[in-house]
Amino acid sequence: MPLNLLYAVFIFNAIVILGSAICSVTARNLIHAALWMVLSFFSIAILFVFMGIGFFAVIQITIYIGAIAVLILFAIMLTRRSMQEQEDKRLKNVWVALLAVGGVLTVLVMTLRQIPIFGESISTTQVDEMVPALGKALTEPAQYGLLFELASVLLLAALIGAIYLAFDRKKAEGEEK
Amino acid sequence: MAEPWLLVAFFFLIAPLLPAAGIFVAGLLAPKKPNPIKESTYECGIEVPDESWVQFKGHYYIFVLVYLVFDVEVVFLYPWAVAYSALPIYAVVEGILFIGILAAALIYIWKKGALVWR
Amino acid sequence: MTFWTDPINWVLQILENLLASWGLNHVLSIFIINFLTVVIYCTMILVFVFFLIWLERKLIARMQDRLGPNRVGPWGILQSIPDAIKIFTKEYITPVGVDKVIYNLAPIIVVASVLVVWAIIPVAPRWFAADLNVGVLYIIAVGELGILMVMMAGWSSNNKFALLGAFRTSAQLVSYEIPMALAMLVPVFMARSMSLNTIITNQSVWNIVLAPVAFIIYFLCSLAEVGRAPFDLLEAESEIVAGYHIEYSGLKFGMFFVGDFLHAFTISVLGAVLFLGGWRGPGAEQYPLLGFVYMTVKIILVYMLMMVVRGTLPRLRIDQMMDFTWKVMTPLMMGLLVGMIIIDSLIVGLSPWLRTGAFLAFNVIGAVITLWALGKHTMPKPQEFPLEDLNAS
Repeated sequence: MPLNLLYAVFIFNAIVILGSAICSVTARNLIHAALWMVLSFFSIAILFVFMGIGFFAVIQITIYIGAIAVLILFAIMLTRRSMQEQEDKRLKNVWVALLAVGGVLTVLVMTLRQIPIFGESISTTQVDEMVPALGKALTEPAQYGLLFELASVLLLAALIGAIYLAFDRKKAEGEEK
Repeated sequence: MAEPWLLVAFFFLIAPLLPAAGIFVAGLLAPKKPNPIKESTYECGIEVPDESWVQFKGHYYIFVLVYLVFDVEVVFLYPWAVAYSALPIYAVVEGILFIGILAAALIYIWKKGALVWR
Repeated sequence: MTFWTDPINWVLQILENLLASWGLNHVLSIFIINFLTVVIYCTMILVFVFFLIWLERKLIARMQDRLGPNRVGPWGILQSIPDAIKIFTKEYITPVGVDKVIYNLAPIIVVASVLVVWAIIPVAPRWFAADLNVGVLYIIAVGELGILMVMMAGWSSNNKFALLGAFRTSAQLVSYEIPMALAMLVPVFMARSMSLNTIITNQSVWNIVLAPVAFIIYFLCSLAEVGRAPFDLLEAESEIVAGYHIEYSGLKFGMFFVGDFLHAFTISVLGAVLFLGGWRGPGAEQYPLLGFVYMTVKIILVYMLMMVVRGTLPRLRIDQMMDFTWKVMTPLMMGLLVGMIIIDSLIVGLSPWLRTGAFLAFNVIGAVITLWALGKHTMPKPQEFPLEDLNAS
């Protein structure tokens, strides 16, 4: 009985992920599209909980919803002048696109079914030693230690690039005078 | 009580329902007298031209951008801090290097003047 | 287990036995019990906010040398009830052109994102709803949901003032999230775990003694997160005319208000849990109710501190606020972390007293250096007044 209920919740969650992604792509209003994307991120976080890695669920919410979705919404709101501005997003050859995507999906599913791990059942027990193990893996030179430091360099590069692109120095210097 | 995420899921389900129930009840109790003047948006009594409010719009964006980078840094630091006891001594150096590179990023954008609110 | 050693589980055991004796399936009875517990818990928290609103009004009034509510009930304690009735019966004026779904959803999720934090708070030794192993990050994550919804509230009001207020609010909230997350990293680092229960059980010496600077930074950042003075630029009537909740009326505005107070209270609870040792105290392990009493005292301490700060300090400007977080608190927190890591690795084998002393000394020295550097940077130089000019005019 509990297994069936959990399975039903998992199927519902999967439908929410896919449905909100589809709604996000086909929404007329850009802000609605961004909000459907937020719902999609949230249900992916629930998916991580089903897999037993709650740490990634909270990270998903913190970074994807808390930072990236906020950034996207800022970008949308600052570049669109009115709220009601909509675009017509109907593709002309939507059936060709659907066929191509359906083909890729079929190939993917048939390949992934060969891997045994995808047949395991879901649970809600958390893996307690996961976060310390993750921390250990992140700093071991043999495992991911170098990538940990490279990640910080990547963040530095991203920040420098973003400030170079987004920050108008001439305007700033013009104001100082 | 054994499965913590299950209880968290209950909280997530019930926590929006209580304010929603309250708002619904208040919607039933409150008077409804819609009126075009009441429903126009608040503009301090004057008509303001369209463009003047999103001047210097880039600046809000830059703060959220910087926040994104530092948020990812914080998220990297948490598992490192949790696993600290099990790590050998060079993990200290790695952590300090990580924080140091991002402190350098902060100092860079500070010197560039990107952290000034306009 | 008796009532005294384990109150919550004792009550739940009785309920389980009761439902089993009615012949219900075991899983269904657990489901019902959990559901009921969560509903009662959330309702109690929301109702408690009324008491908090009264407490705040009374104390702020006394600080401002006036009486505060004193008509309705003894000491005006029932004042929140007529206020609630008033807000329940105000009309919902929905302006034209709003996006109805988001406009109505925003206040609900803003309150929900604060209520959900109560799922992991350990009020007493065996009295908590859930013990997540990623507790501290969970708190940050649901805070972010609230920030997103604040922005949506501002945008969906179809009002440029609200949108501008929402931009400013989210820029401020988001900027103060970084030092807060870094300050919450210090108890995590001390306890080597993100679970709130483990952080409490690890505090044989309270974290505020080990890292007072981290507590101060956490406290200031949480003041800014809630939007309280001196960081309440965003709701100030004279500045942006109520900011992102301009177009909300009736209970929707009341929900923002309730969410605000509840958020302030939750932040005080978290401050007590992370830095003041939660329910720790003599005899708390044995008798959880005693732990509850200790916890209440500590929460009231932090909350009083919040209210005293609110009642005394003037408001900061937005550029001062941003400068403060990015140029003072974030570098200070980073330096503090680096220093504490170095000290922690240096004093590995020493006795607890020496460890405590080392951390405390480092914090105090760091605080003194920071204040000196700030003073040199911000204090204006005294101007020399030539005396001849004064005599001439």
